[in-house]
Amino acid sequence: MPYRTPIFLIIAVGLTVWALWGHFMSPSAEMAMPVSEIPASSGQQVTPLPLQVSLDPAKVRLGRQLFHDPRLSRDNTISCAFCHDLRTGGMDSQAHAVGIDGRVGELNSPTVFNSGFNFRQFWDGRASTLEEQAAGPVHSPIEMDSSWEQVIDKLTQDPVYLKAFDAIWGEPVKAQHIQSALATFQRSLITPNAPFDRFLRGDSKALSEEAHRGWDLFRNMGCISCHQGVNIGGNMFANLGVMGDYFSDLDRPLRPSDMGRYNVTGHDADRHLFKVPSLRNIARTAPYFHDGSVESLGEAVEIMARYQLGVLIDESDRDALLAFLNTLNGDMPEAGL
Amino acid sequence: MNTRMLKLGLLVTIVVTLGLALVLLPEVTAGLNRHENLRARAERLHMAESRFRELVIGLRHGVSNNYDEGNAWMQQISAYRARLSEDSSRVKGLGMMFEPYMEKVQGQEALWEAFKLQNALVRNSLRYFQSDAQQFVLELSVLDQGLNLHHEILALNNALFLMALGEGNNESVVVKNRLLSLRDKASYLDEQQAHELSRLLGHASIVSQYAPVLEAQMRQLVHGEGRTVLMKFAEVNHAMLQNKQLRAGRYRTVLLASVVFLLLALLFLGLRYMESLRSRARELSLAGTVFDSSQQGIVVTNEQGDIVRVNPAFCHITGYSEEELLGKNPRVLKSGEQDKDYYRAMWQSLKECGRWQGEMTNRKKSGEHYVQWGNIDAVTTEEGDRLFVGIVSDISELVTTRERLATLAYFDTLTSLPNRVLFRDRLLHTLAQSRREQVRTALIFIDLDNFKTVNDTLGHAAGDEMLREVAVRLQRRIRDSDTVARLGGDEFVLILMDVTGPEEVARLAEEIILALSVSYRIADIDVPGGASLGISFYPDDGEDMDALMKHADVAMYRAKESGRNTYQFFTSEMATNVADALRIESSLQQALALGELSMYYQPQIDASGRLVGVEALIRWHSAELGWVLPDRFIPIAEKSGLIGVLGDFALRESCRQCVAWRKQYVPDLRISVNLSGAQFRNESLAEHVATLLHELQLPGSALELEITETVVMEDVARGKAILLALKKLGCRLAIDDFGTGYSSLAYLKRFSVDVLKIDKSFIDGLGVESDDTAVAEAILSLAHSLNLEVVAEGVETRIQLDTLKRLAGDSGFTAQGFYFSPPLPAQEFEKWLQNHGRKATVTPLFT
Repeated sequence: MPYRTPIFLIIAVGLTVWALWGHFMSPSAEMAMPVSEIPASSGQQVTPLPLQVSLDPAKVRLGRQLFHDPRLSRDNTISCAFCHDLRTGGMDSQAHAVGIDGRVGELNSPTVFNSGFNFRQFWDGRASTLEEQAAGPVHSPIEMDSSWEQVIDKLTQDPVYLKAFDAIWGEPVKAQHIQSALATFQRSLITPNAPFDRFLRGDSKALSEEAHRGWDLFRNMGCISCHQGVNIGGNMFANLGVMGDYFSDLDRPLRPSDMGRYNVTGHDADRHLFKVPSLRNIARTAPYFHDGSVESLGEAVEIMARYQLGVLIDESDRDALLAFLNTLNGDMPEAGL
Repeated sequence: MNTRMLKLGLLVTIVVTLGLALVLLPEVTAGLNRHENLRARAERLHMAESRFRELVIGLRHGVSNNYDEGNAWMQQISAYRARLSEDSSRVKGLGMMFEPYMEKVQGQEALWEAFKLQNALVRNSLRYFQSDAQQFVLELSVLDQGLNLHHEILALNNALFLMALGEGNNESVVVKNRLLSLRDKASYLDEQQAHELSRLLGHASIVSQYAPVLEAQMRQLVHGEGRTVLMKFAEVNHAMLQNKQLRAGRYRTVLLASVVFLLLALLFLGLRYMESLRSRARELSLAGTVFDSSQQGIVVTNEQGDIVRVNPAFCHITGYSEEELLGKNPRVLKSGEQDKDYYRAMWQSLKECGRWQGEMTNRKKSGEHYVQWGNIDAVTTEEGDRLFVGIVSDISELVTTRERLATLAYFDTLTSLPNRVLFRDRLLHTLAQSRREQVRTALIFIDLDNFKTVNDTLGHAAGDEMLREVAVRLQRRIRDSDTVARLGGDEFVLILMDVTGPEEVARLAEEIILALSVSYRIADIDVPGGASLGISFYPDDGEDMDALMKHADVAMYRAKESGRNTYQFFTSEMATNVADALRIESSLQQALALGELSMYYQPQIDASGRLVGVEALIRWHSAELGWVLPDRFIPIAEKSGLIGVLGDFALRESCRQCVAWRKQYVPDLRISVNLSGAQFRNESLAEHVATLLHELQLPGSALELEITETVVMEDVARGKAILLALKKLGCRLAIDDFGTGYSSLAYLKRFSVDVLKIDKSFIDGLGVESDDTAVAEAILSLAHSLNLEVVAEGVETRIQLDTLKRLAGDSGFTAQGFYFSPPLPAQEFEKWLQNHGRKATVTPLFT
């Protein structure tokens, strides 16, 4: 074989290099796994909102588009933004959500701002994540009354969406991608830099004297026991009416939604248990409570003090608390598309 | 062998490597990764649970009151659990290990939710109770104090505090009772105080209701049994991981070994490949050197016949440069000497056998033709190209030489006539043809009469020139179908096929003689010509070549004998003569031994009648043939070489006899002995004679040697030297048969000849024929003037003797003949001597 092309030689070289690279040089497979390092808390009960969150801009862009797209509803009339108006408080300012065909739900639309910091979604916390939450309104017969199949069908006909989905996931339109995009977009909707946050960050002049007194009251009265964490609420469930029977005092019959978390778990202990709402931007998000039954924040404060703490607060204390609550308004994210 | 083993080893190794690298290792590695991930997740889960526990304890004891981190950890823990559950369920035997853990931790999230709420409630209520209780006790009236409210509320406060700390399990009943008793006492208080008490008790009941539960919940969250189960799961997973690692390690070891082997083999193959490249380069360079320096022309063409490569030798042979030849078809060299069939045969041979070789005449660039010997091979290169490789040598010179050699072998170089070889070939051919066609063929032998003289007197160059001229003259006389050849010397021969008869051949023979007789102009000298021709016929004079040649030769000799410049047909009489000669020759060989030869003596008498000498004459009486005359057997003896012995015998016997007779009868007796031409030409003659004379104590003057004038004149220079040598011995020299041949008196004088013997033919008519008398007289007078003695032979009558006496006058002569005595045998001659004595009284035999 003196004068033949050395085939064996080439094969041997190739194999050797490949084997070496493939099995001796490279580390074994994906050892990496998603570990979101959880920062140790500062020990403070309330912490400021981060000034910015890092998210995939493409997903945010797509999510924003979807958020405003009425094609997510059965008859292409209602978008997410219809109830969660980003120009106002990320909600509709009405006591009850108005869905498709003008159908009205029992519950008050919660704000989408800072919703990414809530530990659960919905008043009864039936969704663990924003992704899960997104499926709710789409399928609800009194909200968008649609289904993923219909939505995907519609979106697939839009080349702009096809391109956007393909660019991000290299795949066609899928429910999980729509959910991911919407959730990512909502996580971007934060209202940082509230005066109170500035105060927490060390700007002692950020709070007025009155607000500061309100903040002291907030802590001393025990509000902070439940309205706590980065979202000043939204990280636990609590029963409405600890020191009094809120629902029996109401001048209306009990509704199913008044059962709160019980509707999810079926445990007696979860009767009238609701997710503690965030107090951020609270001054902007009237009406209040799960049923949107209270128009003014002052009244809501009074009710909270009475039924949760068993305290009848006087006017000056209430105003101080209101002053404090008004410092929780942060910078609104850029609205619209 | 080595290579095959290596290849096999390589193949096996490659298969093993592929198997390991593509199947086994990926599988094990995947398993390994799975277990590794499980291990890492379990570890992280464990860590997360630990952190979560710390948080829970911190929250329970008021170190922190922020649920965000706990929520996050809980979420993380749930995610880990879900992933672990899912992943472990995919591994055989591991899923069942994780299930118990999941059972243990079931409901933990709900527990956490409850804990958060209750923790908040207990905290708030405890604080409100403590601050409100203080206020309430301060505002109590004396009356109220009477109710012992003060004491009970403080006790309740303590109990609640202990409960809140988690110590108050035993306090719950106490607290319950106190709460009941305090509630009862509300009715004793005013509305304001009752309301406040109720609020206090509300808080207290919250604390008492939730604090113990909270403690239990915390313990459940902190001391979950899940931990041990998770550890067990981790252990099992770790064992599996180790097992996989062990296997992976083994596979890697084998793979490493394979790779090492491959590397070594690679090194080996690489080195060998380099070596093969090097050796190939060497071979190529060697081949290139051979190609360039080959003396043979090499030309390579592609399948279409276009020249792709030539070497310098090829360029040299063809005269074209390499640039001129490349891309051309070798057809440019075509000379046109070969026809189409030749090339067709060549291509056929190339197609069928892949090779061709042969001679071919091609044309150089200069137009000159050359002959090449070529080998053409069809070869296929490694690349699969079919090429024709021609190796040619210029054999033009060889061909020329070959042709010249053929000419040399078959043609006489001097005259360019066919030589003896070709002549024999042609004659054989002609005879065969004649036999076939039943025709007559003549063979003519030609001998030049005076070629020897020309050669001797004018030199060989002149002789050669004469021969060339003869050839030209002969060729002019014959037909194209006839052959004229030179057999050697001055012998020429003609083959005339298909002749009608002797008349035609005779005419031609005369023509030839005429042509050859014309004098030759050689070196500015006119040389007279002349030739003798002998003719034989097929089939009349012989059927085969040898007979015909012999007969023509005999006829030619006859022609020579019969006076030259003539021709003779072969006759049967010649054949008889030839036969006789053969018989004589064979008998003569024995004659000496048998004593059949004897010497006869004849007296020589001078004018005064005195005996002066004796001529010794040889006589042969053969038992078989009877008397044979010397004229007949001497030429035969000369031809057969017997003459030497014969001459010796004659000379010795004669001298011996003479010595005897000189002692006894005549002291100054002279003996006269004949020398044949062959004897005379023998160089040792003089030496031989001297020895003999010395041996016999015979004086030279007593010996007279007789030679014919023809013999003397054959080679004048040599003859003169021999005669002088003999003369020094004192011998007398006599010219025999004087007057019959061709001789020069001037020469005779210079040769110191002593005696002239007048031939018998002139004596016969003496006194009768006036011519003879005149000749005799002239000779006598000539001899006298030259101071030579004269012997007259064959004197038979008185008239002859008298005439001689008259003619000679005073000068005198010696006579010999029957008038005095015939030749006699030794004994009889001795008697004659006794009778006559010194004085020869003539006894006439005839009157």
